[in-house]
Amino acid sequence: MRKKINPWLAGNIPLLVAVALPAALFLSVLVYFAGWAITFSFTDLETIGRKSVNWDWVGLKNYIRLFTRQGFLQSLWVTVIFTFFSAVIGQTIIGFLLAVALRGKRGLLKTTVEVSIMLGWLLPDIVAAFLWSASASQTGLINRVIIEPLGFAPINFMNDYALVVVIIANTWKGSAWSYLLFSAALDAVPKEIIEAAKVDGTTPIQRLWKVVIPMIRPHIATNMLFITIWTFTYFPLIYALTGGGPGNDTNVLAIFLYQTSFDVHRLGYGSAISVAMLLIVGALSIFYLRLLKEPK
Amino acid sequence: MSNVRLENVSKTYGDMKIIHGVDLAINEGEFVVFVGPSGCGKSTLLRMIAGLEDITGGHIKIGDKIVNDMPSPQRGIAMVFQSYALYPHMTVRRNMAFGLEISKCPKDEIEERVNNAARILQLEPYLNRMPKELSGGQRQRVAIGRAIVREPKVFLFDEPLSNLDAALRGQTRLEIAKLHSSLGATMIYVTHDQVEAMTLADRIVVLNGGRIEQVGTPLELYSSPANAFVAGFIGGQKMNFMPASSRDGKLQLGQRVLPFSVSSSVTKVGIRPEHLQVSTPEDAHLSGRVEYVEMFGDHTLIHFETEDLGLITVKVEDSSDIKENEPIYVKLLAERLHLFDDSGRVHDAISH
Amino acid sequence: MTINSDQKHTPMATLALVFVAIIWISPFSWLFVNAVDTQATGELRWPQSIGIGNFVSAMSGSAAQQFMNSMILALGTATMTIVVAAGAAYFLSRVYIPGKTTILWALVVMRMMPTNGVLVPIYFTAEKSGLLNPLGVMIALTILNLPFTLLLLKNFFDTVPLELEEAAHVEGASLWEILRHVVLPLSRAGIAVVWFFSFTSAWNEFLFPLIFSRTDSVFPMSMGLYSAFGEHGAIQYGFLAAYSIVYAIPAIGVYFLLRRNMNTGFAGVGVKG
Repeated sequence: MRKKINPWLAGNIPLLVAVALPAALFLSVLVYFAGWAITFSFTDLETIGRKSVNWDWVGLKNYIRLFTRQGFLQSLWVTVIFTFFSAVIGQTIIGFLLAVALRGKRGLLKTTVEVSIMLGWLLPDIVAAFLWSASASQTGLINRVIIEPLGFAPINFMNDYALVVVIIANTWKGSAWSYLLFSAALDAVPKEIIEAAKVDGTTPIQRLWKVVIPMIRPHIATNMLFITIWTFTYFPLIYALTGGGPGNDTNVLAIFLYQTSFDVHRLGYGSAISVAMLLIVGALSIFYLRLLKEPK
Repeated sequence: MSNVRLENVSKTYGDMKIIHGVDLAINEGEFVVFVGPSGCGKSTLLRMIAGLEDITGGHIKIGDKIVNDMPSPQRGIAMVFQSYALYPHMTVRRNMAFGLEISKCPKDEIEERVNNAARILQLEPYLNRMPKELSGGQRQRVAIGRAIVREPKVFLFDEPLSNLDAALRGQTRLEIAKLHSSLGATMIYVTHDQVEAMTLADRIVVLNGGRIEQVGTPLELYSSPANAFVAGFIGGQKMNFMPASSRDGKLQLGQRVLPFSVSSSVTKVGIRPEHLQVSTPEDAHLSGRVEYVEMFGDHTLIHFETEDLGLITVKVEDSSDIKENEPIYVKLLAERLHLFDDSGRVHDAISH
Repeated sequence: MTINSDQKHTPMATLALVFVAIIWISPFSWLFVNAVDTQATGELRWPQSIGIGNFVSAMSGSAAQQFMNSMILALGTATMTIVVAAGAAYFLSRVYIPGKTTILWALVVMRMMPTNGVLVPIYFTAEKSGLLNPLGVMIALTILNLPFTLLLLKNFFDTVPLELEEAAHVEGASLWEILRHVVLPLSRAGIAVVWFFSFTSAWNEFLFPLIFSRTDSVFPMSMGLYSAFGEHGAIQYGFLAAYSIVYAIPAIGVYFLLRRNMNTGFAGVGVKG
């Protein structure tokens, strides 16, 4: 409401501007980088060789190529599956169920569960990749503890079910974030409202669906927004775990982009891929922000 | 101690003018209360005196010095905020000492002033607690203590009691009154509660829409309000207003002509519930049917519906024989009648 | 699953929760048995000969150097992020600028572009400015994190009541004193969250060190592990497992150190993003 700043801050405007200056500089550098990447996407620039110097403007050719060549669409499909199952389904549901189950509780059980899911989240990506490649290997945890005791021959998960392993690994790694966010959201739901619903004779399930979930809807949307953005552009875990393989089974867009730019050296095409990713994530974000603002 | 003078003070935000040329002189040691409905500009005015809002027009003088461009800390004021604004991460002692520490006051003097304030406000047992460990009333006292230690020329209070419950509000009100009489400092106090204004003020300033409606002692405002707004705002029970006119120099209320001489421009009369009396049908000026009865123990409010003048409230001491839905007859105390014309101005007293 | 705070866990729910905890922890079993097994082969089996030899080598020589490199990188990035973001966030929180929320969101949206997409411009710029070194990595990570940290810190500063600052001002505190004594202590949770995020992201980062590092001596642990992990054949599983644990401990430790400060911090992340 009060639009003008207080006179006491007004006297310090030079100082305020001075402390804000480094950030302004950094942000303009960031905009500059992004602008550069967008510019690349209209050229046939390559990272090495002749076309790293004598490049040409190619107009929308790189963008057309996204839809006419196999790579991008296939990779997009893998990314959508990866994001949908590991983030939207896996992390959100597990995080939410745990937050509900542990709400308002104290004691050893809560601490144990919290710490164990947190360990995965806090683990550096490379270590997590190391851990899961070992767990899914032929002599690893899953084969030794589940498959072999059931009388089956050990399965080479990294070869046969790489995408599943990657999805599980990412669910394992990321659920803690959703848990933390939902816990904070549930704590913010006033106890009186739940008690009022109880007095009204609702069952626990009804309370969850009709009272709690509508109240924390903004948190659910915020969470979806964050984890979708992160997962859609997530790189290190998958790159270290599978490198995108076997074949293109786990070749999500972040890896496809990396390979196109740095292994195949086609920077122009790579930049077009990253601009396309930006557009897709941006569209998804707008969708979630809608969800955040409008009540149904 | 200092006097405070507002000379044609105004304030605009963008195109919106919210204070319209206020003139006011506050004497040394005076307790002045700004009162008015929310949005009337009372808090803004106080914050302008404090130096938290800039002054778009006119002058504010504290002790004969124009302070328009003087930063707040140099104005010699202390302010008690509505939310108390206690630093949540500091103990009570540090909350009170903070301002003195900032101004590099010697350690032992800080100690002495804080202890002194704590003694006055009975905060000694709580000096080492954090604000969140205190009750609302105690926090309120810390906020006042923080003002006292600064030994300001002028105390500014911005709705300091609005976050307290009714019982505490009464008690704290008394403490603030005591504080004023013992310190004798100039105090400016903003509230929307007319009870606080009536009980605390030497003089009340009634504000409405960024303008002063009336300045006066509580009694003056009660007995001779300058206009219908002040009349309606001041007083324990809401004043009864009735449309009126004059017929042959006599007061006409609805169908009846009462034997009071009035000027011809009268359009409205107001009378407080305590200035109406239940009477016999013969002496009555008004009559109606009792709608409902509110009993407070020491007094009773009777709300009755008249045929042509709407709902009217009477305050009586004893109500044993008044029943709902029964007829009631009421007499007006003529000398307590307030007459208004179209411009809302009050008329002089009337004669029989 | 109930929404009852007064109800005890049913046996079924307890069992389910214990099961979840076991599943979540179980992948670590492999890491530990290999780390303490001085003759580890990378298989999941009982240790053949238990010893601390793997940890000793994971904490000496080039491994120790890499640990230090990671520490410098992470501490440097976290500190730089706070210093750069805090001033600007306070400015954004307190000074009215038309359309500032839109600008901030635009920056956040821009950051949705994958990091890999701006790798080349960043590389060229760093090369030109002579920043192909750990300092360059710190600056690059600070820049990339800035939209998010700025928005987060601004939201935290927004929650510090203006009245507190006004009270301090009336009492004669300068802007610097207000920041030091009032605003910063009260936004500790937010600063802790931002510090934690930037520390962890720098600690985990391996792409930037990979392309920015000119010599082995500045390799951080992420790089050390990544390169060793890629070399198939004679992998020293015991050493790598111990190395992973040493590498993971600070990332986990930092969270639990700041945990109490951050709990309120997460609520802020949720509500306003």
